[in-house]
Amino acid sequence: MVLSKENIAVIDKILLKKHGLIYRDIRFEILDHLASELENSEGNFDEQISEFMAAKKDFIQKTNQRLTQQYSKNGLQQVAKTVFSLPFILLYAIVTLAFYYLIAVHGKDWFLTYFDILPIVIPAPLSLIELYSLCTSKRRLYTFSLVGSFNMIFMMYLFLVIHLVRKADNIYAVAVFSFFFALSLMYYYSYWVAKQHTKKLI
Amino acid sequence: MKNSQLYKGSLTTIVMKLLEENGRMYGYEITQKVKEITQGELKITEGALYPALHKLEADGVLEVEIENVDNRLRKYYKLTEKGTAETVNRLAELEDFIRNMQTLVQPKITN
Repeated sequence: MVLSKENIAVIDKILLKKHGLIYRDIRFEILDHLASELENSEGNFDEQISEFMAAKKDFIQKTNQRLTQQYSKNGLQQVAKTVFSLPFILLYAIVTLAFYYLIAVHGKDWFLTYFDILPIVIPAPLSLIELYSLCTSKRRLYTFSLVGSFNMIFMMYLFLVIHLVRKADNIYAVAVFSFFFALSLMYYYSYWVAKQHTKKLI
Repeated sequence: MKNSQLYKGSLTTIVMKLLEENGRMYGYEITQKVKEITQGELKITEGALYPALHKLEADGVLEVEIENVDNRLRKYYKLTEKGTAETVNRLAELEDFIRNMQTLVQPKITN
């Protein structure tokens, strides 16, 4: 059978509304698979679609579930990749030296007044944009899992590490703070790379 | 897949071999090609195919091209340079495995 644009829209709607495939980068591929299978069969679309989608329920849900799990892991791998990349190591070294110098000149109290919260403040706009995109059709699991993984690290800073930074000696405080500060800057770069990856999904 | 336990570990190698021969393919095309080559004897479990493809993509073995085909987007997979080299290794491993299995299952009769 030949599928029209309207037929494709019907399958897309069923995947989104009935099966909860909210991420476009997962949905479009499953949609293409199902549409290809329908195109290779005989009959009428309107008569067959309900039965066909019911028969494919298991495939749709298993694939969605497994890909979601896989992408969560990928998000963490991307964070690890960022941390062990040369640009991050260089940035971390520069930031550490800069803040060590600033603390030496202005003192730790001055640093705590103005800077200790920065690893939370810097990533916030980007995280909010991604959170907003969850309410639109631009949802992509690839970018969302990356943002989720980065934000998990930043939350760890907010609830745990920031207290260590405040209490620790200058050298240790700077080393730990600089790591999260550099990571918050690299977060933007990693996000941009992820966006390029999903760019073709109009 | 037919007797999926036996074929489970070979899914990625089968996919890579097909992509090596056909250049670029999309998910459904891969399932149909396997069915066609094996004359319906072997059917790839659809639920396992896409996670395997995405894993290979994340590992840098495959790269993707997205095109608009028949009113929808289609994701084509093809081997990267790393993937092409990896396919040679995987096929060699698989051939060794098959040879060893054959030796175990049908040992030569010695006098």
